[in-house]
Amino acid sequence: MDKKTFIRELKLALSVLKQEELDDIISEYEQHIDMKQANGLTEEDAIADFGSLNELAAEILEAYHVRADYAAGKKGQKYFPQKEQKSYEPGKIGSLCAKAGAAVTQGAGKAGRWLWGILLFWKAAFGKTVFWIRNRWENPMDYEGEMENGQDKKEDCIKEQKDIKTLILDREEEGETEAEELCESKRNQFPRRSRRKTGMGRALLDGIRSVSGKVIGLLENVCRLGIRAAFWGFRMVWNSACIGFALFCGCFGLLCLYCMGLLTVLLLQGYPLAGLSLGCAGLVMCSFSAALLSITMVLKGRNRKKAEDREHA
Amino acid sequence: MNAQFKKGVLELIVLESVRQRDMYGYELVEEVSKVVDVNEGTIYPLLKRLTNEHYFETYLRESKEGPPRKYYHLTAAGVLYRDSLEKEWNELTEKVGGFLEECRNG
Repeated sequence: MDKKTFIRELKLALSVLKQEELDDIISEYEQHIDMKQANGLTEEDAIADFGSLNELAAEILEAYHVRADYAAGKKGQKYFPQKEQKSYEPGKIGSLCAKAGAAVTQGAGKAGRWLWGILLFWKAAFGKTVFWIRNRWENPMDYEGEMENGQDKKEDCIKEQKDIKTLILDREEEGETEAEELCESKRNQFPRRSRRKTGMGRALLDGIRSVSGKVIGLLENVCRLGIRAAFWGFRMVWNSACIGFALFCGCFGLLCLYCMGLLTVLLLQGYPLAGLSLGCAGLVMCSFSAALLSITMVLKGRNRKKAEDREHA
Repeated sequence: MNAQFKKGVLELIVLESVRQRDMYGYELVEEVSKVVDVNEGTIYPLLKRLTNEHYFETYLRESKEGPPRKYYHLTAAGVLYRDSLEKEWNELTEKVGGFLEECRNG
């Protein structure tokens, strides 16, 4: 058996060991063979002095408190196969792990980009609608102001009317006729809507508008009430869950604290319970933190509601 | 020599050799081979076990003839262990020797 084969098969037989331990052992045997060769022995003779490879591997594994039959069973193969088994070579396993890691990273990147794309699509498609609904919900009285052109014209008319009134008052002393003429000319410049409609048509239009406005208003109120009721119910459930969780965590934390006390006493008496005590301490902190978090969530919700009420008031 | 005898006494020989001076693997194998004819491969697992049990500590030292060599050094625990093994060995040889002497004398 040449050195390369010997090293490869020894690696294979000891593959259950940690990589660093394996490298350490292999380097020692390699060095030993090199030294024997330097002293005049052939490669084959140097390796033959090690005796049976099976026994050697079993002894090395025993030094690490690993049973040789376990190592053989773990490989699920012949203990020392003559052919190279690519899948169990540490180098191959490393490259396989690296490939798997790269594939996972790439997949995660693709999934992230895909999700981001969906998010952007939803924002583009429904972002404005959601924004409009939110505005509509928060400021229902601004609804009529959304018709920008009409609103601007209306504001201009009102401003002009005010100017006219001011002008009339200013020129009252100069003569009523002149002022009235000016007033009339200005009114003609900004004709009222009623002048464009007949009396009957306007009444009908006003009636329809009034009825539809009331129906829409009613529907709005019903919807708003329903949504508020749903929110209220959800908040109730949420708060109850938070309080229940906080109570559970608090009780569990107290129990852990009690256990920690017991373990600490035992630890001081010399029992090897340091790890368990530390674990208990960690559980105590985790439980109380979780309880505090739950209480904070409930209180924060209440504070926010109060602030909103204050703002409305 | 009987393989079981060798196996039992090998630890003591290795510990005593390293107690004299720090040695690297190949050197130690040669040293042990002077006393008992032992399979060379078995020394390394023994060294590894004694290192894992903190009877030896290792360090690397540069070599003019090749790569750095790993030297083994006996720790305080190793010295105590070696002493206990020596004591046991002496008791055993004394008892067995006495028994054999008695048997020989009839």
